[in-house]
Amino acid sequence: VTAFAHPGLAILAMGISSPLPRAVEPSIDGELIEACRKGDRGALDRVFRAHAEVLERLLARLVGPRGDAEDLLQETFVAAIEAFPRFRGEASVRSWLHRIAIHVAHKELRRPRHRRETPDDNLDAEAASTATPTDRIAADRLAVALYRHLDKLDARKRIAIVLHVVEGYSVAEIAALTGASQTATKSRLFWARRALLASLRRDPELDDEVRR
Amino acid sequence: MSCRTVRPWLHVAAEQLSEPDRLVLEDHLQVCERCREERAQLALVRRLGATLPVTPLGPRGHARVIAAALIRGLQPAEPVQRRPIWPFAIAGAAVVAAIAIAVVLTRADEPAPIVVRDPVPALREAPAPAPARPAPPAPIVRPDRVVVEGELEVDGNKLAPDAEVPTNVALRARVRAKVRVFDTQVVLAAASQIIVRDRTIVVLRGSALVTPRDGVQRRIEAGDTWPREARRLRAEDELATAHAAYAQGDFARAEKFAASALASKPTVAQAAEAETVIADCRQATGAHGDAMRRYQTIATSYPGLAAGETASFAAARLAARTNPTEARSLYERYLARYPQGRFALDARRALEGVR
Repeated sequence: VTAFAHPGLAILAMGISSPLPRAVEPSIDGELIEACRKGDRGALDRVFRAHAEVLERLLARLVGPRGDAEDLLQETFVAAIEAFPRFRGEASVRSWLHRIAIHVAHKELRRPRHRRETPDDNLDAEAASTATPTDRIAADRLAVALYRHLDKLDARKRIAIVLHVVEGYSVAEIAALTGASQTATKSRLFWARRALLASLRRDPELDDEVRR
Repeated sequence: MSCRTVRPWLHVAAEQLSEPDRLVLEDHLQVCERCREERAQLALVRRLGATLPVTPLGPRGHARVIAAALIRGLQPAEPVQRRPIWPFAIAGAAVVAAIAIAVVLTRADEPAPIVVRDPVPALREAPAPAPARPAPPAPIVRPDRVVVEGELEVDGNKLAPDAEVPTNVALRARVRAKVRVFDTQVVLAAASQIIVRDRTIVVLRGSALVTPRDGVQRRIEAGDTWPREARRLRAEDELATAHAAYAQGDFARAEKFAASALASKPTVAQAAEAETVIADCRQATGAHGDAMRRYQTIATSYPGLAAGETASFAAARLAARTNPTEARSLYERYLARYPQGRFALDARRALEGVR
């Protein structure tokens, strides 16, 4: 398997039921893990640097443009530092960090603040503040509009659908990452997909984009 | 082929599917409009989710986040704040002593017990109980105090290191100095001034580096506060919307959001920016007189800010359309104030043109 910049693409390339691609796993040896367990600053720094980009992207996609990915990334690393002594090495460090990041995102999405900040004005402001060229603003506006629809979903369903459709994870992988059963994950995906697509159909801007 | 069979592939890009699966899917999509629509919708979700308008932190940002996380994650757990037990011990002792006195006084009325072998103790007077000492005052907690850790001044008077000053007093640093406000470290740049109001640090002049408990250092400029107020963030949002509306030519909307930003308790810089947007909108809609007045007010009110400089130049440029004499004077005033300013070159060229 070639090294994919995006882990989801590698999964898709191998078929949707394939396991997590090992090709994207940064080389982290047992000694480094042991040093991380003991709270070695250098070892933790090395492990976090190897995964920061992927985790940042994952968090941004889970919480959307309104979320503060920087704060969430920091929360993820702090949680990982605290949990490292209990890390048994049964899963890869990447999967383990992904699980922590998803947990952090879930907590963020359940916060009332996140739900409160959904008026259109804010979305317009965010869309406008991201870039200056008109086409980029239009693209950003659509992405922000998509997350407005995702905001309507329950946090667990939202995480499942983003991991499935945007990140490209299979049902089994999402179940493993979120700590839910495969049956529960399938159910979440079914209802999330149904609610999201119905919501998109009612949005003239996004509906036009679909038909283009 | 049923919809159920192809459903797991609907969100997958065609090039990511195996050849047989792709052919099956394509055959189905040709006859099933519902699946075709669902596939288009999911493709849009995938595309928009992947191109989220988020500026990546980059390696330097990651290093900053990791450093902050390491500080927070590796710091030893804070010891549990235990209340001192001695006030309770003394209070308990006082209660016991009071009960003892009550018991003794009650028993004083009772006949003395007949003790045959040793009558002396019965005749002996009970010792006078020690007067219950009043409980000492609770330790003074001063959440309203600011601890000075460097050379600072209040009204020109130099403070001793480690001095405590009350809140609502403006602290001035001649040279770079440190101050601890509650649990936050603040490093004032030279010639900076801060004031603490209602547990909020306000930078009046210069700038300060604030390091709260999370260990992440932030730079706070003049006019800004720490913690940042939610209303100020709201002002930021509204200003962004105003700029976007202005860029789209919707001046009424731009002015509305700029006015809303002004009403949201903005920082000095945000207020200047909002007023500039309003003046720009007035100019764009032909209200040149009003725009000119606004530019001149901004230029005189905020001479140290970028908005002040911009307004000063904008006023001169606006005057150049109607009144060359006034324009010359305004360009000269701009150059006198900002000889190395961002528009200095434009101002010099314009001045030559006006002459």
